[in-house]
Amino acid sequence: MSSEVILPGDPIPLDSLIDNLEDSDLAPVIQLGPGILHIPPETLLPVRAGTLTKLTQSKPQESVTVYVDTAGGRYVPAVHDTILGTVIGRFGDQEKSFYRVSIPGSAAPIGILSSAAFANAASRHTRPNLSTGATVYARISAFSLALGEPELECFDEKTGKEGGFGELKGGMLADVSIGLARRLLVPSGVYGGSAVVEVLGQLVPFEIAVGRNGRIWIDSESCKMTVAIIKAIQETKEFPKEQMEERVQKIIKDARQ
Amino acid sequence: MPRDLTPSTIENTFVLKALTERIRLDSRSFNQLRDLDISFSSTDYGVVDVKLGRTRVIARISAEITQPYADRPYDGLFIISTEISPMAAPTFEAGRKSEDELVISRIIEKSIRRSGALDTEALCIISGEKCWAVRADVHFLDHDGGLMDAACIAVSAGLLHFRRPDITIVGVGSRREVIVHPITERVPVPLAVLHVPICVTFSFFDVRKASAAIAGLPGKDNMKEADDDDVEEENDSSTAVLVDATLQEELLRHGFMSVTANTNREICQIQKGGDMPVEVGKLLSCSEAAIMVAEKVTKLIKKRLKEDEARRNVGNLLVEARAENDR
Amino acid sequence: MTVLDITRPSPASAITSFLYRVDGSASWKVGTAHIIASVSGPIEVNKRDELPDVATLEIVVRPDVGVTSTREQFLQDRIRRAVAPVIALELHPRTLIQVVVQIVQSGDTKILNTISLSACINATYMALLDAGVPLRSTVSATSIVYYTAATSDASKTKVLVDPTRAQLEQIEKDISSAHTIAYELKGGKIERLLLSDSVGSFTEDQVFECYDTAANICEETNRTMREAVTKCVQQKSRWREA
Repeated sequence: MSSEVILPGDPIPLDSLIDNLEDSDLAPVIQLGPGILHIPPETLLPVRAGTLTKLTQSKPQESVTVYVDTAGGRYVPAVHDTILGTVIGRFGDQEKSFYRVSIPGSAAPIGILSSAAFANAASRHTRPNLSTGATVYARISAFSLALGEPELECFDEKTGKEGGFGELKGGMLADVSIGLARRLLVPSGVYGGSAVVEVLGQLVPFEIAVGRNGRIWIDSESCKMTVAIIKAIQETKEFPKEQMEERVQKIIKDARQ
Repeated sequence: MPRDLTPSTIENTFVLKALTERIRLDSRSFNQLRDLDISFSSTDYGVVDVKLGRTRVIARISAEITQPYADRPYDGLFIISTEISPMAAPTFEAGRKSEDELVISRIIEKSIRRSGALDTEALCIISGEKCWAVRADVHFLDHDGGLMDAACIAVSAGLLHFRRPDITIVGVGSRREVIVHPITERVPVPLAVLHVPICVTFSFFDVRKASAAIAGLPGKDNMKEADDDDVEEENDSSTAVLVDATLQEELLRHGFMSVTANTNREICQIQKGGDMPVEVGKLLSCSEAAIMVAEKVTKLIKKRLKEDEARRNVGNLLVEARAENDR
Repeated sequence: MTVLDITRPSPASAITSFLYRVDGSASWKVGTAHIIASVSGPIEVNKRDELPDVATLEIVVRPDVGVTSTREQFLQDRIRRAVAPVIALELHPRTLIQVVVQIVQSGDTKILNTISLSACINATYMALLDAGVPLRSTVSATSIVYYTAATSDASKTKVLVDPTRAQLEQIEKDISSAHTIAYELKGGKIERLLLSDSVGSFTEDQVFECYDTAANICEETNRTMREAVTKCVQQKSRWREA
């Protein structure tokens, strides 16, 4: 793993990537992440400013993943992403109806959520009835900027069960940068993840939902604690781990008084 | 051109519930202003940068010589321009005035121009022929609520900071001419600022709606059962009054009142909006609070002005030059 | 070719990511000029401005004093010419990239636009960078002013790079020409000329001379940009430390 700040147009020599790989009989595999365009035959062009991050991996195959990591910018929807949105309207008839869901902070501001796209929605009677203003935790099931609105679903795509998706009740929403949202969703132990949720979890019981569109939802024992948890997450987003732990502990301790 | 943020039910309920526990999301107390920072341009006079929390406004005062209006030959001109660009927030459209924008420009106009903060008669050079036209251009850079409060502070501070070039009138009768002395040659002249209006916006929340939402009971029915004396008491605690709301609080509030006051304990302007009635008692307590904020803010403006003057006045040259001018 | 007498005041300074409601922001100060630019995008586009295969680029320039005039229209057009070629607009079709350029202090005299134009281009580019809008390379611009200085023996052509307003006012009557030059750079090296905007009277030699001078200055400006961006990125990724 190496990291350096890179600007658009800076050269990325292929050798510098392949050198990271140990000798192998197989042809080297380079995976391109966000922020890098491939211009055939073998030019790699960074298209935004950020930290050039290279991650090597030996399983299932020797490969190197390279991407430009950024903290800010606007969220552009992508399939499989989870988002937090607000229902702003409904159209269609009794049999087949759809919700219009606003996705704050997104390049495509309105998503479409079918009332049948929920777990247990096979029958009309078990479908949820969402009112305007309701907050949903949903997954983007289909999208392309050229084609228009993202399609949303509120069930786990692997199991078909609820899996935490659907309407959220109680708690509070807050804005975070899309970089932080991404880091909060990285599984613990994997490079680039944020440990703030773990640290908080050891101090106070709470629930969290993270939308890739830069929104989080928090619920805890009291208003005061929820406000403190949001503050802890927002304030420590740039902190190195030790400093973050210290600050989070202080904020939670203050909220307890 | 994205739509305005639509607050969700969750945010609405939570903010109201927190207010019943006297908690604001940024941990401020109800009558506490956000961090206020005022700074002046190091080169030009009358350029002020105001940061009120995350809200940021730059005001620029300028002056040029022009002809007065025919019906007001003894008055100079004073114009305040408050166009909001998408820089403040992408929800504002360039070149088109939204309703919010109209309210903001009206309040600033009433607070500063119509309250007579600037003595326009002092801008007259030759009656009916030549006068100064003073212009305040307000640039909204970042919008996190309280745009008018920040703009009002910026324009007021700008008027105090601004210096126009000195002038001399030569000749007599119809052959009178105005000579403008560049500020590099002669010490420029401050404007005749009569008072410093400061606008303070109060946001009202009907917290009864919160308890109703939490308990799942219609709030008004509860009220009817209480007898008259209790109603008044209830009323007092049923409205949360917040000073200097953030954008989120602005989007969720049930009513607002902007009070412009100065350190002479004068109210220059009151504007009430939203569909919540305000009692007389609230009006008086808000006015009193506005005066206190105005005193605090004016003190900060004066402090920053002094610091700026000290920075410009290296070697005490300005004071000497001014003494000569006064004679 | 005569040896040029080039004067350059204090170098430029840049700050990025200081506005919260927009996706990217930058402040650019050079000479007496101070420009703030913001970028929102990709965002929803008005149906009538929508383009099927690329993003729509909207640039709004707001004057420091007074209402928008032909001067701002001119700046808008030139900024577009300088930055549009490096934006990968095809990656975000049917969306809007909205740029707002606020002139805080123009740094120009009444008859020139040169200084504000180069500062606007630099500020705009930095804001695009900060917003994470896909870009193919970097852009840097500079302004160069030629004037004749009457010395004791003979008049001599002198050059000012990114001058302050006080400097301009001093030589206002002797200005022979003013040039704004924007280059595309890759990895800090000049790649191609993006914009060359000149007013006044000048010789062919002077133009080419100007391009050479600008190339050096733009590489320096580009380093200033890189430093500002690096500082900002490092600040935001302090979490990487151990």
